[in-house]
Amino acid sequence: MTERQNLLKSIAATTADYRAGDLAAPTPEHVDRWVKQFNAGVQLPILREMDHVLKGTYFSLEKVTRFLKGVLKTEKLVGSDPSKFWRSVHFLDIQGGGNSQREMLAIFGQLLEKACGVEIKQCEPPESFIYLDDAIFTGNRVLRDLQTWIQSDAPAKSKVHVVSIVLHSGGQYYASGRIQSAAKSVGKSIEVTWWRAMKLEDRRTYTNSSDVLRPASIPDMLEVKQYVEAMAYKPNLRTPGNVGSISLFSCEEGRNLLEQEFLKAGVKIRQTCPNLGVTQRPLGHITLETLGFGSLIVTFRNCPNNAPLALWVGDPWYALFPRTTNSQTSLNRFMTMLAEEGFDGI
Amino acid sequence: MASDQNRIYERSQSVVFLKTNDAFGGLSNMAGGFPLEVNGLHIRTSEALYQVCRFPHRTEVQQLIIEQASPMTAKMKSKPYRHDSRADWDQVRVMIMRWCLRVKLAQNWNSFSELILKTGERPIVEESRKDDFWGAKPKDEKTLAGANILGRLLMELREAVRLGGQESLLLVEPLAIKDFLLDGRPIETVIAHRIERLPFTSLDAQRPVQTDDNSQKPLQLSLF
Repeated sequence: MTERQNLLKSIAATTADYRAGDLAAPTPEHVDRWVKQFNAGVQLPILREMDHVLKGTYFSLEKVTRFLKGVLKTEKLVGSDPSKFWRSVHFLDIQGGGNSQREMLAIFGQLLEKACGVEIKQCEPPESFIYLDDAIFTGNRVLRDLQTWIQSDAPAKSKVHVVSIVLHSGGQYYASGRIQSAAKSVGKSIEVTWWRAMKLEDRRTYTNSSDVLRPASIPDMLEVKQYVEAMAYKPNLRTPGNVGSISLFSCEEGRNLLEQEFLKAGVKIRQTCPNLGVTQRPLGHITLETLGFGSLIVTFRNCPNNAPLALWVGDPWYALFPRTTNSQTSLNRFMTMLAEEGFDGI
Repeated sequence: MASDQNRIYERSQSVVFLKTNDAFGGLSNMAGGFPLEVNGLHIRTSEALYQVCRFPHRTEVQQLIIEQASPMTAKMKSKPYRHDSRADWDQVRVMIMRWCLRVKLAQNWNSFSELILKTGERPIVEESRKDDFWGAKPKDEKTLAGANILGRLLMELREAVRLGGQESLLLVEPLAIKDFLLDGRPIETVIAHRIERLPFTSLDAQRPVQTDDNSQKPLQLSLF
């Protein structure tokens, strides 16, 4: 088997349960069709780097389950009697847009019942609140959800544990400050603790050691140059030489290749898909005017729009990770599957 | 130093710290292990934060201070620029120090409040050989003399912890002084820095999969 075939197979295997039940399982042919959209000379190096990156950034159901099982009994969070703790909390189910919270809660509920004999129910009055999600990217979603909750249902004094697998430093910082301001403006006291397994650097000040895609230079391609030219705030470029805080990238060359190629592809995609809003930037959704958020995190249930467009936008581009378009249908399917097939996560 | 600020402390009756590895060395601004985050920037010690506040108009000096791994180097590196400290430095430095201590407490609540409360009712004194403004100098074997402003700010903070508790100290508002800036931007409200790590044994799939029981068998999942 050639190196290329091995890599195609490996990437398909790493991402084997991507939207399982919703889409056909990824095959080496699927990965091949995606990578062939890049120039012939860079296809093999892209496969090499993506193979390395996805082994760290793809969260299969098995990994998510293992994470949640860890949460169940993390002593620092639950103390010495997990059942007692979980009986005393209220699980927030307040997410607007997307299903990630509801799906994480569905898995967690089953694990909790098996491990502690505790059902996820709304304990009144709770000692603390749990806001569970797979990842915090820009921080906007958790911020909006908690702001709404603070202005309405939150007790005058409450403790909230925001639990996620992945936490981006910038998003966390942005959201924390605004959550506190929201609480203050309505005279409530909200104490938030952020729990995470993986902390990724995305703050502008730490661009050089970031764990997200931050190009070190503007590729020599007319369309990209024009795109950058049209930006009111010029992008903050990375000084090369750092593979990030937890070595998500294999080396500077590999990282740089993904940054350059995904940026070029993203600009092209934006030209061919005029329906993409202005905040769907080449390297992923972000409100701030930058080249894009640049996340490479993908979970078995979806690819976030904060990932480069080259990973998830479809038609005419061929997506490696097509995103769900009908969240309600997808949620129903997920819940049915969880109920019907039995969940042997313990 | 105005004489009415001078205090005399009995060594045996006080909590005295001189070095960061003393029992109460964590009270020193030089102590490591109390990381801060202001305006999204990591700052290693309250000493570095205090020094940074001298130079709101010189972001490059602020950067130089923040980059230093040790607080002592941070202080030394900023020394050549001291003449260019903000013009009202002498008028604002005490309130800036007070603010720095509150930031240290908010973002390191458990460890710092515990240490402060452990001092009990005793006077807190920073011993110094040459600085009797922030600390107190040994007068003889048994006594120390000085304004001990840092120690007094710590005692004030101890009272605030006792009376106000955690809730009122988790948010630290910026000081209402002119040009209270970091990296060219106004300093924002500082909030408690509470990020906790959760276990995840297999983030890197290239490492052997570790199960969290002792069986070492990969998990069997039947969902998909």
